[in-house]
Amino acid sequence: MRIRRIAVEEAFATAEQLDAYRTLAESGWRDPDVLFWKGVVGGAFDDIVADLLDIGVGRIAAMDRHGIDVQLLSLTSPGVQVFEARKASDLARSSNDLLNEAIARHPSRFAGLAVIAPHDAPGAVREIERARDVLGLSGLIVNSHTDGCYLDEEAFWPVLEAAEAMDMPIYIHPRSLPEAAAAPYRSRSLEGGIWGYAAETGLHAMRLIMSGVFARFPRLRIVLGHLGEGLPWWLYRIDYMYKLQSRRIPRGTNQLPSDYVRQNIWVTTSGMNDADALRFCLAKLGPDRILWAVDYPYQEPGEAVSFLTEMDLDPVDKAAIFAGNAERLFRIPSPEPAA
Amino acid sequence: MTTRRRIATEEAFATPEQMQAIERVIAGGTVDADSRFWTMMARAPNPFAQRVMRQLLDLEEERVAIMDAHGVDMHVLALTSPGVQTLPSDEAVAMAVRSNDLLAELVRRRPDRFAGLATIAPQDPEAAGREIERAMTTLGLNGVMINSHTADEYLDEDKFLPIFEAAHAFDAPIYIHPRAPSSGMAAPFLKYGLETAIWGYGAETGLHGVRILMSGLLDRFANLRIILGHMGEGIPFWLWRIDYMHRHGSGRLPLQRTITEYFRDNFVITTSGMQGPEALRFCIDLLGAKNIMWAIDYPYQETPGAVEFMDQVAISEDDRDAIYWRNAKRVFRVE
Repeated sequence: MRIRRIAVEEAFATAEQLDAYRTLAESGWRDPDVLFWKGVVGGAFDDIVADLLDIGVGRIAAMDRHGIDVQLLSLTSPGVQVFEARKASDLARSSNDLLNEAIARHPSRFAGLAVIAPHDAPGAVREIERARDVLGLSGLIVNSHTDGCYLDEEAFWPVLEAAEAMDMPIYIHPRSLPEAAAAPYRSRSLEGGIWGYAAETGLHAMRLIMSGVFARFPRLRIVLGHLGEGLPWWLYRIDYMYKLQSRRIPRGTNQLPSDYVRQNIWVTTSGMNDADALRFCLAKLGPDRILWAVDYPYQEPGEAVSFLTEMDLDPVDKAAIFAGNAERLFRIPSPEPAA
Repeated sequence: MTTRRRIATEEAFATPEQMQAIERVIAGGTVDADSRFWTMMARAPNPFAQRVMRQLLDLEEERVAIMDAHGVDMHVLALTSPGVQTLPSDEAVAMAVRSNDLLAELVRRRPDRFAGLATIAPQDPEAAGREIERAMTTLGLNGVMINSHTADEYLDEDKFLPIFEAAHAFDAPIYIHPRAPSSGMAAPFLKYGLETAIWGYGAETGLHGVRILMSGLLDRFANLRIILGHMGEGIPFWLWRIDYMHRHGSGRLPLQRTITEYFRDNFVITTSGMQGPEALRFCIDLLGAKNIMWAIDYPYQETPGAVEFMDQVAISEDDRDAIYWRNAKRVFRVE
């Protein structure tokens, strides 16, 4: 029997979102993510834009070509986080409604992460509750920093508290570094997927660990793409230096940073179709914490499918990475057994 | 049976005048992301700071005793980070000369126990190029160490070309050692003290390495050798993705080889501060054992732990010898 494949970092866009980016870009806003989108909506990547906007039969046909059973959809980065708070929450709601309709039309093929506006904490909390109770979505997506602020900051604690209480994992997706931290990445065009995204998102995760939010919200679940944005690679050194330094994780009792990585963080293979790196992460984190992803339509589904399909791996572990872990973490129902 | 040798390749020392100069910079109120660490080192009454300060300034007594106690044959020494790179240019150039003289004198006296990497002042690239020449010819040192950014500038910027011209002409490997992130990126690291070894050093130095990989310098100076500590500052883990993004990206310089090829051909990594067996084996598979050297990072890290790790990690004996000393002999031309 073929192993089920659930891809968990799969992007879509809405026309309303892209219009709003265009307006922002024309306003002279200097955010590097908006400048990227200015190029995109200006026609630089028309095929990708068409794929992003399609959350219907065209996307399902692409999934079928590569044997992908389910896409866990999320509004593409930087989501609503570049807009002022009220507009961001409005756009989050309308995007989540649209996502919900797409899932309702194709319930066996799509699941979804709700987008939220972390900088409108009360609105985000209401949207988390609605996403869980009314829309039945599987978790949340946050595109790293919001106006240079990270989720460890106290202003965002209500969001983390609601995510924990409602059992909604937060996928922290990359975006470009904030203005205050981007300068040395620019001269060689390193802000994006080649280096800066991971620098930004890995730092975000380290801040969460060191801030003590996992001690405060022990059942909070965070998902990181790109095989954990570098954290698994550095785990030994992080722990070693933590033991040496005097600064403690608030409320952290005797926990090491790596304990929080293993208790509160899940990682996905998005953009890392590298068997050696995956094997390294399996050795450090175990097979239950790793999920498969494509990063459609930015990356090739065929490569992501074939790398894991062909990898020499215990079939039980392979099935867990391809689907089982996603079913559990995101409450995606197993398929009906064939009659 | 040959006796195993152990050559440690990222070993720090300090001079009293360097420590006084750093103290003066701190007292003068100059603040960068390194300040907090060095304020702690210079002023905090904690046992770590006091031990490390004492051991940095000691060259031949406690240091050699510890080497002997753990079977370490040789330290490849370098002036501790940030070297002279935070000082005014003229002062930095002069101090680099004096520091290298002192180091060369020690290496001449104890060639069985010490090799040395010259410190330079990138603040004055022409003078830095001349000091590389002097270090590799007159002084007989074994390479150069540069502590990542200098006043927020990175070595791939055009102004630093004289450094690479000299390194190329005099066959000096350049060890790019960490320091805290430059001011253009440091802000989000500071809140939880993430600017130091727990995260920031790798972020800073890995970025520096990637900038050099993308810069075209390795096409221009095809024999250039760059050394990165801490198992390559994260770059090995990301090489697959870097190559993928480089292939599919736009807006970057076209290059003659893939990034993985440059990393294998022009970079050597060391094990300083990364004593995880999985990471070492990953790097042996990806880069080959010939591109990896053992390091302790004395006195910041413990000698016994570094020896125990390298003695015991499950790799072939041939790889173990290559990493423990053979590669260092080749890369640094140690007799």
